[in-house]
Amino acid sequence: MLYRGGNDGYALWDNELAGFLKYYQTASSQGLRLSSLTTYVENNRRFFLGVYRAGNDQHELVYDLDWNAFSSKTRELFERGLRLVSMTTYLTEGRRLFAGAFRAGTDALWITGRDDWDTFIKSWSDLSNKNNRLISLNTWKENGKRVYVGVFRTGNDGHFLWVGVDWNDLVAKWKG
Amino acid sequence: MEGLSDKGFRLIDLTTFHDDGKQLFGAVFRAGTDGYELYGANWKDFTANWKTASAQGLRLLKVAANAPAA
Repeated sequence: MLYRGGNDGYALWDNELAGFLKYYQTASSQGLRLSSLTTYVENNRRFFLGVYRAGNDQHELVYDLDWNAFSSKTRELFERGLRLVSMTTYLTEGRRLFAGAFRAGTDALWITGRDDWDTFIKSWSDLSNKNNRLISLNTWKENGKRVYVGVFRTGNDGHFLWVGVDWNDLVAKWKG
Repeated sequence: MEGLSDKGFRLIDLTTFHDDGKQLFGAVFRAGTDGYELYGANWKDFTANWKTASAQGLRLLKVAANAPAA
């Protein structure tokens, strides 16, 4: 669980899809916006967990899309002034599916393909050098090989990427 | 030894995955000077920590659930 400073409105909601979608509508009507989502399976039931922050901007939630449909939807929403802020992936009956939260934005957005590590890190370097910053990293295995997808938005601040570390090393690197 | 948080970086995204039977993490850092916290816990402890941290001027940014891609 990752926190940063803030004093705005907030909520956390964890439920199966139907309940998650119902709360999404409720929260959105109450000045909250889904800013991060993840999914997990417990007792053979899939849950979606959403982090909400204060907001009154345009928004969209997509789910149960395969990669091509998710990529197409992201391009369509980009043209409507929406930017991907969080994505997650999951398997349903053997199908790789994706869900994403979108909020209003006018900056650049790049999503890398389902690349192996070497290709991904080259894209990361190229996009970072062109004033983009990685905001979301996703990884899973396809046909036994690990693939990586990165979501990049406009930015030119300091940045750092560290992948493949265990918890203790992560905390040590983070805290010193 | 200084950590990245002491050097003006903030963790903005965290993902977790399993390779060779080990739970591993991918961490994305960007420049920042605001408050921060990183916390690993089960659900019960997490919700307690979330309430405390939220009351102390922190906002949950991301939850990395164990093996999210499964």
